[in-house]
Amino acid sequence: MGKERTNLPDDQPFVAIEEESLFARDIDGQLVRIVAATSDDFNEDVPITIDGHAITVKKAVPLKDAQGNIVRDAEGRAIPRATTIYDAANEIFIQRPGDRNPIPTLCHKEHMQPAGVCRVCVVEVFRNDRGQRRPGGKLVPACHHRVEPGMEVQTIESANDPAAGERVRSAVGLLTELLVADHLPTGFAAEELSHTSELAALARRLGIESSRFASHDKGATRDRSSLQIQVDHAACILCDRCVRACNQVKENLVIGRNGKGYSATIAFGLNQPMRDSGCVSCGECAVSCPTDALTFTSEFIERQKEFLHQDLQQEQASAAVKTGRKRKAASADETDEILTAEQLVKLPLFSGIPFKFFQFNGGAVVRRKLKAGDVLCREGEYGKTAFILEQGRFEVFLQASKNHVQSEAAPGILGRLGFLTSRLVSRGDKGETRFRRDGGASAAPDQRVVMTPDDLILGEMTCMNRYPRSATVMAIEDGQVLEIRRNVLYMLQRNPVSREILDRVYRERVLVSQLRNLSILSDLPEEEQNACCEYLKDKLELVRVDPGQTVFRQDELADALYLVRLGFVKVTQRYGLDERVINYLGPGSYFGEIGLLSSIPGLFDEEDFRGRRTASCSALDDVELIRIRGKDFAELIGNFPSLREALLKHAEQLVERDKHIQQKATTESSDFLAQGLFNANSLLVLDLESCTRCDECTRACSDTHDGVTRLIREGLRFDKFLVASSCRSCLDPYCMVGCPVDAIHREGSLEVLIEDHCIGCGLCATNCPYGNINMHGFEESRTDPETKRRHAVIQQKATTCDLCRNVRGKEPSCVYACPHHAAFRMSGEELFQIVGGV
Amino acid sequence: MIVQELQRMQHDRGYLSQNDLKLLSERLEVPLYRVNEVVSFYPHFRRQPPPQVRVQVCRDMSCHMAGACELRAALGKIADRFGEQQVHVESVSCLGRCDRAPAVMINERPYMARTARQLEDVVERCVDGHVPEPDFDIDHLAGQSQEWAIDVYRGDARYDAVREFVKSPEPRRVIEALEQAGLLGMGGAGGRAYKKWTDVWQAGGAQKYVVCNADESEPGTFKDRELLLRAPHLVLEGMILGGLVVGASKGYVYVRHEYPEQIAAVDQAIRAAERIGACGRSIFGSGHSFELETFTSPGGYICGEQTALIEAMEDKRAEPRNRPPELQTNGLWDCPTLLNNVETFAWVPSIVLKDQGRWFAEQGRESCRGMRFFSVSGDVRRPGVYEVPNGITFATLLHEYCGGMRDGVALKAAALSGPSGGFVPARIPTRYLGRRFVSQLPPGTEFVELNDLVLDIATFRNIGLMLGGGIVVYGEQRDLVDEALACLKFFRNESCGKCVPCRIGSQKIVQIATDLHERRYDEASFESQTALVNELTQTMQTTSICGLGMVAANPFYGLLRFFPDEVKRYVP
Repeated sequence: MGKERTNLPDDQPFVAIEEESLFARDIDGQLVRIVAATSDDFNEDVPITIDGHAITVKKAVPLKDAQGNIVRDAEGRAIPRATTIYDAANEIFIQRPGDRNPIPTLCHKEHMQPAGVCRVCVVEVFRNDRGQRRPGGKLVPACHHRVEPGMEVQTIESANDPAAGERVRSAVGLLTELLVADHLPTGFAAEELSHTSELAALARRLGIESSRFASHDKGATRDRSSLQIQVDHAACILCDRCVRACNQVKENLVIGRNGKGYSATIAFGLNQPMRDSGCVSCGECAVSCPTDALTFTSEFIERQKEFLHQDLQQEQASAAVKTGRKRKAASADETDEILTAEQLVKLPLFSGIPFKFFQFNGGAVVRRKLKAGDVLCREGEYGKTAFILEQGRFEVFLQASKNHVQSEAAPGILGRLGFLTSRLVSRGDKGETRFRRDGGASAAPDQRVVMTPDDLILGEMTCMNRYPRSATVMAIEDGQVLEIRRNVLYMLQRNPVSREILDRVYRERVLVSQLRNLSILSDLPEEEQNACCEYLKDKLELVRVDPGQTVFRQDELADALYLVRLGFVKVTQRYGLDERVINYLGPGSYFGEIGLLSSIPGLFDEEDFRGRRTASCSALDDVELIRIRGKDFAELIGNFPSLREALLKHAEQLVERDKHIQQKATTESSDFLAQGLFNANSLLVLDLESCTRCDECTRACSDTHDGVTRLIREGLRFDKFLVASSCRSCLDPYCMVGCPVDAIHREGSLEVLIEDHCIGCGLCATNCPYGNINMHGFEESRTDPETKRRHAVIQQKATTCDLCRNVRGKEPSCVYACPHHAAFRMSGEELFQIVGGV
Repeated sequence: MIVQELQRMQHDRGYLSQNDLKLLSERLEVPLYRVNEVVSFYPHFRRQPPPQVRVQVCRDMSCHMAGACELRAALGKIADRFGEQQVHVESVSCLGRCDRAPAVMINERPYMARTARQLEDVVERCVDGHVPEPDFDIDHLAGQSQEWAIDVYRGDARYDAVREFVKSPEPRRVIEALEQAGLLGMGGAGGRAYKKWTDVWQAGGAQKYVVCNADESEPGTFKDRELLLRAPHLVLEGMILGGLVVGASKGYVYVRHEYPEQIAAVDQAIRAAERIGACGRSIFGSGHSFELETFTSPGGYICGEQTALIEAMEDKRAEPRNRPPELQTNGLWDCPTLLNNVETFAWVPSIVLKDQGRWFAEQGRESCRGMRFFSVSGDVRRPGVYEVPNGITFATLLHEYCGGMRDGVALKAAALSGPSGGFVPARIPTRYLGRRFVSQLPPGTEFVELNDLVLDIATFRNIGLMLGGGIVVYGEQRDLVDEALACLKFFRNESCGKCVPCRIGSQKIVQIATDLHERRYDEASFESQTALVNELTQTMQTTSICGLGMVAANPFYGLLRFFPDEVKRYVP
């Protein structure tokens, strides 16, 4: 020590605690109140520069949920969220999968509310106002700081202001060293760890091989109480991602921060062992964790893999028996393989998916090798997978349109409301089942559709919207695809870039295919149909509407016509203080034309509502609509008089009918509606006049399913019928949404299946609005990885009615066992017809 | 309600059992993890049944100098004798009685400046079920002789400024008086008070709040303790005026729980004010209303950070918020909030009543404006709270107010902002000081004397040093490496743990200082550690969320800069 110690920066006085931050005031010196972003902000431009790249972003972006879906309010408007520096950098630097935002993050993920605690995303900001460039002094967290007009940002990779870039780099480097010292093992090999540990990956990116700080043994503990997830507190950097995953993404409300300062940790419930807390083992925390603090236990990973292997083996065996040709025992390079987590993260499309997610799912991706003539999927099947095309050419057939599917008037209320449904007569071994076609891939019978790896993905519609497959796909040369499950698809949607690609593919396909099937055109001669299609080609819009959300309200100005693609829409009208349901519209129907027609002078003289909506329309479930804007519609009917005539005639009928219905709307229909019965494919209905309450049905169910009943003889009554609590095989099952391991799905036919690799998180049980999925503890045997001894554990699993899929005989046991012929299975519509609805 | 409910439950039962927390979670319908987050954050909450005698020994700055370490060890021996169930001894962060060091709390009663022998006696008598007479703050007050200019009413709670305001409400006039007076925020940052009041006044929103930060927890600082006890009516009047000016209808006095006498005094003053109509509904018969209430802090230095304080009031962990936004627009429950320190509010009545702030401005010496309070402790003859004109020199404060150095020792250093600004040596090398300040000195000046420094916030900004309300004086006999290590530990212990630079950085710097203290470095290895400390200091300053993280490395950084010879003694 001595006078030569001049490496202390001389001009750096002790900082005083700052009064306020650089962007706390606007350019007039007025303190800015930070208010929740408003929808006006969607349109407000904010010009900023990042590392010298100028960009104009909107002041707000739509708030998205963990799935990347836009969150909307009850009116259907997107909820705005203030645009951050990190968002803006994403816009500049990320164009395709694999692109990297120069700003590193640990505590931030696009689908979470920013916490701003790890500070590795810091950037230097300058403020340009009135020609002056003012430095900020402190570095600001890009994940949290809003963009402001005139902001100049320098990141860790800044080339246009190297000095600023160096200041940021030195700060981020030091922060990383601090984290590395305490939270990575000494002598860590960044390469090995960087799969699971984003911290190791960051250290590797910054070239940090070891920390200059000594590590400190906090005596931190491990929590191995849970069967699925283990906690290593020493690796935890307290980024808060698991806390937000548990409380905001999954709303399980279990994980929080515990203690204070250097000894702070994450904790479950009241700082209990994980297993004794309210944890449901959904896995979201481990998937979100950027370090090895929360990992899946090796025995759990093995168990998940085993399930998948068994599935594959069974499938191969049965396929060999069935087709005799498809997938016979083949040489090694021809067999399908399950990709490992390590292989998967290297594929660009999957680069945004956490490594641990693949571990969690036992590598839920299978590489299928196909020979020319192999069938990838069949029309009408309830698929649970989508296919990413890697090699080869594939032809899409609308087999059904040639043989099994007949269009006919839909039965029941739907039929009376005048739309068609497609019916597929499947020749499977379970008798006749009615499917509603998705209509995703459709083409004129003589049109050939061939798909190649450029088309990227196939079959994603079934995966996303839970309707049966709309086409059969066959390999027309040897090829290779990746078969992915729904949960992988969901995960892909979380990543903004792959999300955009998937959305674009989906929209294009839906819109192109939908053109051919537009019901408004069905009465026109083919020549005119083609002309109309040509006109509408680029004018259709796909709109998604959440359950309960309003599409438009009565008396609003009419600005568009809607066609229902998926789901059900409720049409209501006000009568005095009452809001009466006058109609339900399902796939294939259209609405909104009356308001539009009446807006054209001289066309449709209804002085009562000229140009305004005559009713309110809202979504009953997840609905997809095709929108044709008002001015395009006006031009269309101007060009095609016969279309105009047909629509006018229909509209007049509707107006007449509405007047008629006014007197008839019943309360029973609202019960029917509230209970979602319109959505039911297979209700267990008990005729209470014959039923003696002997409970044979419950007993039979319990006997069939290892002593656990899957039905409860209670529920809503309609007339003399009781709708018992038992899975209804909904048309659009809510239960399947979000299963983290994709254990619940349909396979080939109607019934909802829960597979053995269920982890018991209970999400499906929570999702089922009718209480038809229950959680039960099952005894399982596990091997302790340390002692290698087997021991019994209780594994929670979800159970639901599977229509006795694995039992011989035509009927489910409950129906078969009833000694009084009082139990029936029927669809919602059938029941409605029997009890006499509207 | 979580924080207050927990305080009430603990008050009733002495501690919080697992079952209590589960019941609370059910009753308030908040998830268990939320309850745990709060309970585990605040040191005040106990999860185990308390021992019969709980001894808390302050370990910071003045108490550290007064032998807190040895005292704790000595008392620890008694604890060993009786067993943990009966007597538990622990070290705690600054108790705010630095003027009577060492400070000890036994079963939450203050015992000040006592010897180990005397305290052993107290503990033994407590074990026997007696309550030996504590050293209350109020008794200490009786010995004070300085008359305070701040108290325009000389002890009466007359609320004349409030009376005048409700007669002719002119917010702009009050704000102009504050501007005229040049009153600065007395909580540490030293922002201009009138500006903050204007910001909250002009912020939109029907609901606004006034909060008084009485969570005085910085080691060496205890002026608010005396102000709250001696003149609570001035603080309340400042708050009521603040409320009337900015349009708030509710005010909270946020007091640290180690100040029970002060909490009682403020509560009493609020009730008295309500009785004469100075606050509550319809103030002095006017249409204005302003409710006041105390909020007892669940504890921790970090609660003094203004955004963390608001978080604590919102039943959360006191973790500072990312800024912007500022509290003036997005404060308590996201409403515009006027948050000032005790002293800042307390100056308002005299400023408003005496010549529109001109009287206050004229009190300063030299070119400085106004007056302020200092808490002085350490090696001085008369430690205590002093009301002084702005602009006096350090020497004036030390000699005229505090009676000079204790026992005739020479001045070695002073901490001028508690531990936050590090130690400033008696002779300060100018090459480490701000250019603007140095350029005003005669050319070639290599050193300035600490004694000659003018104690004024604006001057200190130019010098590049920090000036707070708590000054701790170190005599020649003090080992500054040892003292600095204690300060570093304070920040480490009080870090909330939210952001990485502060949570880990504050620990790493303690580790390095400990290694130095234990003589584990040779010259070469210390060289590299010095470079690392400089980098770390800078990174903590630029990337921490709040002021605590920004200053947490300062005691060590200052030591390396100003006391190379002291440090050298530890590097073999």
